[in-house]
Amino acid sequence: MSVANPTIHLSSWLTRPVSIAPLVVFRILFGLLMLVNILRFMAKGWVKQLYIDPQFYFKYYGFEWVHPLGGNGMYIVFVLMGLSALFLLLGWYYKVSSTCFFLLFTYVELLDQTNYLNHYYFVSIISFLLIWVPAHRYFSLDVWRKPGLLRNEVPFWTVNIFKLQMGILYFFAGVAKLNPDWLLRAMPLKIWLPAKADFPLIGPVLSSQWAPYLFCWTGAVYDLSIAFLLLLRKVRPYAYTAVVLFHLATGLLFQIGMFPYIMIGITLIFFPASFHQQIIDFLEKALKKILGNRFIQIKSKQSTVLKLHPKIQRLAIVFLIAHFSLQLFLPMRYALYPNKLFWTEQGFRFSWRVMLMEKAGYATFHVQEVETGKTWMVSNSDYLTPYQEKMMATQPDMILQYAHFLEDEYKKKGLESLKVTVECYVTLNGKPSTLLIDPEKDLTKLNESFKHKSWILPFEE
Amino acid sequence: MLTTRNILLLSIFFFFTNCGNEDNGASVSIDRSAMLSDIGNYIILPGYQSLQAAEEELSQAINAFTSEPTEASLATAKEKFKTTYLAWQKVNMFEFGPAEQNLLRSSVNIYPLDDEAVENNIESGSYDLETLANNDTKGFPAIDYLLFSKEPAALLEDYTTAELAPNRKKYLQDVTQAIHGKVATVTHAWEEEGGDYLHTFIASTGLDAGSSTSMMVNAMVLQLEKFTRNGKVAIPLGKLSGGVPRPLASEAYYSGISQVLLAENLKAFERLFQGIGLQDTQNRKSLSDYLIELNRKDLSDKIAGYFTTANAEIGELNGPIAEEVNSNQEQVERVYTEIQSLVLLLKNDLTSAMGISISYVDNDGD
Repeated sequence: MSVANPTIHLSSWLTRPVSIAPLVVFRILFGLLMLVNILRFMAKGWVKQLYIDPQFYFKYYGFEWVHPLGGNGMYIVFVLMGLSALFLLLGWYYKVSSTCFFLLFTYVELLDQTNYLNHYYFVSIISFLLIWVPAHRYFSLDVWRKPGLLRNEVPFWTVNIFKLQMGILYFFAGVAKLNPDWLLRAMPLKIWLPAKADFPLIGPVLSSQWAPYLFCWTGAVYDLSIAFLLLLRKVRPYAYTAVVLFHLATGLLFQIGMFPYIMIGITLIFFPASFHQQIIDFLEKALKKILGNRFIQIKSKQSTVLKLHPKIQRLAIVFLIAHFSLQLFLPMRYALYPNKLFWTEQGFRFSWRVMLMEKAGYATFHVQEVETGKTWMVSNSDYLTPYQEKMMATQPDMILQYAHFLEDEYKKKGLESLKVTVECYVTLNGKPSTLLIDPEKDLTKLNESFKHKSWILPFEE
Repeated sequence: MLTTRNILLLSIFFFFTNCGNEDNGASVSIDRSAMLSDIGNYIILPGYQSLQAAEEELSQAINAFTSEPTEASLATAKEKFKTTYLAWQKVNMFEFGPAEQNLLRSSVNIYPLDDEAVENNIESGSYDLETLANNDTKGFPAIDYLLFSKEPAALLEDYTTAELAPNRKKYLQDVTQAIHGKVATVTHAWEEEGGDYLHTFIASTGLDAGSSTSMMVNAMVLQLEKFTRNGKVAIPLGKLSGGVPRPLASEAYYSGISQVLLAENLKAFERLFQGIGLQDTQNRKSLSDYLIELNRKDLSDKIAGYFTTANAEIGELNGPIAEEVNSNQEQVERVYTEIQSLVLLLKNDLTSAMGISISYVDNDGD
């Protein structure tokens, strides 16, 4: 009986063979979207703006050793990243290209905390998971190179971890919306929607009194339920229509780049294998038309099951359990810290908290030479880009990091024993600006850690 | 579908429960196009036109002075200079569009002046005022130096009997001409018969990066923070130099009208915020009305209040900032504090309430 040994039962459920088709389409779409994403990023001049121009970079705690490359180094990184995405799409040297893509993308993300976006974090995770699955073993150049690699069935988990990961994203994004500001005050949409009053056709609707409430509640219900609805065969077409409409709407209204299209594309993995097989068959036909006789069979009708070595399989499952436990823990870790999350942002990142607040800060730093009492007001624009300054001014860990940087900068000018304080005012969801940080606190005496930052002043409701 | 119906019911429920709550059910009616039209037609364009008119009179006065340097022609030139410098204070917060393309601010008002470089230019007689290296040898600060740095009698000698008199006259004319060129170009670009940027400005009603409202508010905040607060007050006060005052770094150091320029500048900010046209006292649509339309009269009133106090504190200054930073430091400190509060309110609260991002980068968010 399975009751006697549930581990074996679970393991055989996770490893039972399923069609590889959804995984293959997922690989192709992800590679394509990443390629477009990288080309767009480069075309907008962001490589220079974000990774070459700044004098100072905000590091992630524990990743202070990650630095940008000088000269044209960053362009090379992006070109290589683009090539990895292309190889991923083609399934060419897949193991290498998926690993390269993950490493390069994550390297770039680690360079500057300023540029943190939940969807970049999501891309890092997805590309990491892709390394461990056999998405290249069907309809790929690897199979064309080495026909022996060809398989059309793979273990169940290799396809479904992506659904789980997306489910976690949606669900926690929904949970994060269950707060009074979002549900009862319709914040921040009450600020953001009227800003779109001149939008063609729906502009007047957007500036109406009820639109923010409708959008907030729809958004919360959508995020909380969509992953489950996508799992149900009967509702799936409607649910996917909702996915498309929801992401297109957010894409049109807000400046969120490629994210909506990435989600619309990869959510297709929820559809059954037969659907994906049709896509592959269609692509094959198209390729044959273009390439003619040179096109060599890169798929097979015979059933060939990929069987992993039991040890590897077990290792993979243990590892996946660890990964997903972490994925469940991270969004909830904020509960370990006191005070209002939106205010302190302790445990805010890596938690799928998207579009939740309208927050703006203004930080004036003062550097004081303790012996003489001489004080300098810092002109932030001397050291930071406007975007860095803006992001720093609302996030305590970045404020602290910058204060330490200022200490070093002023020491370079020959000053000793310095005190750095900050007068930082923040407005959250339309509430009047108030002090975020104790303005008397000498920031040079404080160090970053996972502990609660007691020098953040409490939020005044 | 069940969920759709739920969503509808919930939203209807919330729509009704919320009506009559904090916002009294008033729907938000936002007309940025009317606001942009009023600001463009009654504040920005007349602002540039009056600057151009003043500048033309200044050019004539400078020509009269250089062709016949007398105490009388000098006095006229000085007077016209002051008028023009004051007119500039009414448009320096509009460094976007044509002004930005033509680098207006850095062409006409970079200070402190590098007076040694000015003297070198005069002596050599060869210089290109268009180069970046000459940014701090031209504009209003250069005229300020060339007309006010000495007592009239001594100054007149420089323009008459001194060996370099012809060079100095030419330099004064060139500097004036350079200002004239820039101001005329920008004004023309705004005018209907010129580039008609006014039309472009009014038509761009969005709020994203690059839209008129966003560019204008960003430019306004940048001027207030970096050039008004820092340039006019904080830097002379020594805020950026360890508390050691730098009187020489103040605006209009030689003519000694820095406090008047500051007062004019801050009033111009206030008029822009309140929507008071340049040539009339009528209240037009502007940022304050916009805040009220957003149900943020509290914020509008708060900002208006800070403008009043800031104006009052500036009025308490007894003389030029270059002198006050030594003799009346506390008062300058108070002026600084008031402007600092305004920077905070405009940069944080106003932009946040309006949903404008203070970022000069067109970036993705999430």
